[in-house]
Amino acid sequence: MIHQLLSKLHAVSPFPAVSAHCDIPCKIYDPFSAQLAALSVIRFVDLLNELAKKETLTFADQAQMSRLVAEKETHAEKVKQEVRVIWGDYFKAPQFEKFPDTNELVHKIMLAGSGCKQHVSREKAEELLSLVNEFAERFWATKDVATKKATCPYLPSEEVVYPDL
Amino acid sequence: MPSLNDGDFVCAMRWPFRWLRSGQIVVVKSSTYGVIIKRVDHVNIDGTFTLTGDNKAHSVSQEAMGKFTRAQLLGKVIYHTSE
Repeated sequence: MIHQLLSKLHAVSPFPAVSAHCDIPCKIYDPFSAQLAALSVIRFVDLLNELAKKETLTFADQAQMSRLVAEKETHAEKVKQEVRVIWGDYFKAPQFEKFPDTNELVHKIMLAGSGCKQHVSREKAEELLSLVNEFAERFWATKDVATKKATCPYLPSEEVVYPDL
Repeated sequence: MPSLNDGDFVCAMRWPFRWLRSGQIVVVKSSTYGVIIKRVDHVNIDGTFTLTGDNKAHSVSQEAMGKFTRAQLLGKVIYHTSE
């Protein structure tokens, strides 16, 4: 009864809320942030490769190169982090039962992420996106959401797995 | 004090640090996580304390939450009601 009374009061004038579970608000998970980060890594690699074509690098070019390398590093790490959170917090026994080789896929993503940090390689960046797309497909499948593949409407114009909502 | 469920209401009272004990449920201001409600794990002599979650499988780890200072203690839960 007191709970009902408090609920009514809360509806009119909300009490401050506190969190007992400090992670992402319950049930809001989306692999898209990992996919965006992987697309960004490809983009930075492309921009770095454009600079690499130049015979000499001006000071401004070198500064740009530093920035691109730094962002590639940050975004490859972001891919690893976003995937780790979904794997660690969202995936539970029922999801692992449905996809028993998920741990292997996640580990591949971790290795691919590191590879992208260590090298300026289009191939490695594409491989990272491909693995993250596979992870995304799997994630949506655990929610019985169909997926479709489409080319993202901006550079690097690569194929991305989207939920078919 | 029972564990908490989503949607529960609690009443927290400002609480003197010297009365803080392990096992009490407290409301704390975390710079990383915002205002959180957790169980006190250990109170240190130097005026810091650590927290733990009842949902061991899914709670943020003690290490991740870190040590808290008396200034971050907002209050102790003295009343709790569930649906």
